[in-house]
Amino acid sequence: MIPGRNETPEREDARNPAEPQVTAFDSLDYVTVRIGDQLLGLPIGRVHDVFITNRITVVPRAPKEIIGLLNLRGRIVTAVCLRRRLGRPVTFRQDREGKQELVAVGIDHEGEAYALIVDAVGEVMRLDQSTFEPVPVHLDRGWAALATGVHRLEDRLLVVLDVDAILAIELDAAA
Amino acid sequence: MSDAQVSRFIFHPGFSTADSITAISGRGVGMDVVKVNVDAIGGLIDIVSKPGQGTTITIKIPLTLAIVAALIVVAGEQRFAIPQIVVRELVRVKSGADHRIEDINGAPILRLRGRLLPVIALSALMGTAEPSFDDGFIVVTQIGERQFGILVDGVFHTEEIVVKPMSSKLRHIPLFSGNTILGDGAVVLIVDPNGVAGLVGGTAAGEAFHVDAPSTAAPVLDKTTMLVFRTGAEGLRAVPLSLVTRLEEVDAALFEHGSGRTLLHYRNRLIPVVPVAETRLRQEGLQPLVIISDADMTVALAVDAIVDIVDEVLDIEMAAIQDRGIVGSAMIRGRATDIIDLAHYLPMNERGWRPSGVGSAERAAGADILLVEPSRFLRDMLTPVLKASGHHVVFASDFAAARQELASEAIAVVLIDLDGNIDGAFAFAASLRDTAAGDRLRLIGMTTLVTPDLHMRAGQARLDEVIAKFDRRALLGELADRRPGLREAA
Repeated sequence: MIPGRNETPEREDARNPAEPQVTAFDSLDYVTVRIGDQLLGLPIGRVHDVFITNRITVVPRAPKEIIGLLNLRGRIVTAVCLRRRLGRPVTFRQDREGKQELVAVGIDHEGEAYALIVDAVGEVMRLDQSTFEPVPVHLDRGWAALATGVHRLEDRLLVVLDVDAILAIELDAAA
Repeated sequence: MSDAQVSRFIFHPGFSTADSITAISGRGVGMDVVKVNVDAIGGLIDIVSKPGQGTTITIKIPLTLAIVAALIVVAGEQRFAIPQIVVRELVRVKSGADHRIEDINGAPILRLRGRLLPVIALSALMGTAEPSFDDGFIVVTQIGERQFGILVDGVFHTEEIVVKPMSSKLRHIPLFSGNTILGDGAVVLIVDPNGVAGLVGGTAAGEAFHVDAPSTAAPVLDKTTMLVFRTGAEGLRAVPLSLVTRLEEVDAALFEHGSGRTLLHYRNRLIPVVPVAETRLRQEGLQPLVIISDADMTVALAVDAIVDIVDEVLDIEMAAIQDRGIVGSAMIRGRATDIIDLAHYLPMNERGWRPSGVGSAERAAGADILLVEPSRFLRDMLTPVLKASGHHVVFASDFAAARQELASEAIAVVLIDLDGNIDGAFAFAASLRDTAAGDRLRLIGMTTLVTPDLHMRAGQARLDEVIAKFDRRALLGELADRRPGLREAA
């Protein structure tokens, strides 16, 4: 059983779903994703959809975090590799035909469509504010810049990611 | 009301045939929304319906610039789209065949009809795979006057593609102008030939490859609208149309002759009528006149016939004899045509006719205007105008020459051409401002087309004013009046 998922009564009034700028602090619903063994949470208000794709167009000379472009129902989506963004080595899962299979979380940012490529997508969690802690001070700077805080779950920790910070990819001007 | 009109009610907001309104039906906004959106992109929608037979809805959507024909090529394992408009031809290359790729110090080159074409391997540019020079296709691409070849591994077909803009995170990559989704659902990148051409210098050593080695001396901007007229029986003369105020045909009986001059009562003023070159003033009938006017002075040039207005790239041969009222000759529509020097015709009239203030200014000042204009034609055309208005003019064809003139002459006003090398012009202006006397100089930029953006940049470069090159009135007004311009206002 996922902690905090079923026990919590409906608290729809606690947040306003129409508000576009949902920060981690007033939305405690997260789409959980995994990078390696690390559990990460994306504020649910920012997530459009979750999809799996095996067709990606690599963009030569792109920043290394951008692994390519995807076609999501006729929309061209920029795929950002969360692993690379978090400074982890990249491993790709292969499907039966030997193609890369990518699990993507669709996010809109400043009017453009992005897909965060993650290792796996978990469930949607509703967590209580009381388990929320700020980012530990000794966290790697690269991580600390991308996280807004940490939730203490019963058996593990969930790092809440800052979607805007993740998509603020520094452009290589020399390219 | 016709059936067609009745059918179009479906496009009206709120129009519904439903008996009752529920949450999802009977609102009457469906086709209204469609029509609004089709209209928004400049399209047309219509409906034809026959009871018992069916309905045809026609939607016409304009083919805008967003749709281009593109050649789909493959390099390495990836497909790319190259806009068809830049593609001149395709050449198959294979080692041992007629067309093969040679190289100079690693720079691949193709011999094409006796010329050398620099070749860029697309896969090397993209870094996707090691290029194979032994077998492939060269997409011969032309950008302006430059040609180069893009080596690809295979060519598929031409497809009409909808250009979608690059993501803001990828827009800085010069190689791509956009991306698109092909019929099979794949996303492909659209190669920007300009970006590739920009990399030619860096990746493939060598000079720019010129197509028929056209004379680079004549800049494209020299296209000028000229008024061509005939003087005497044969002579063709021309004057830039921008200098002409109006064309008239006046009954010769209206000319008034007195003290060796011919005058015409024209728009409540007496203006001099000056025959151009071999033209003889008519004694009766209609006399064609070219009215040149300029602030306070107006002169009617009498010609034998107005021939045409032409838009031509002019290559002027300078006149050997300066004093005959001709700037030079040019080929216009295949005929040698003399370009007249207005300055010659304006001062043919005595001083009293000219505004007195201008005359004194001329005497008082030394060199007071420096004209920096690379086009000889425009220099020659503007100089008479400036001289006729009483300014002393020196000119320079480039910034280095301009600096020398500034060092040796007393210059009050610098007219700078902004069409040729705009960045250079702004840098030149800024450097003038930084000299000791720079603050007293009046710097005026001249351009063919004044845009707000240009105006803003000129303000930043501390130019006093920007005027259109052919706006003679604004130019003379600017010179006459020394109000604070852009710079002080900024």
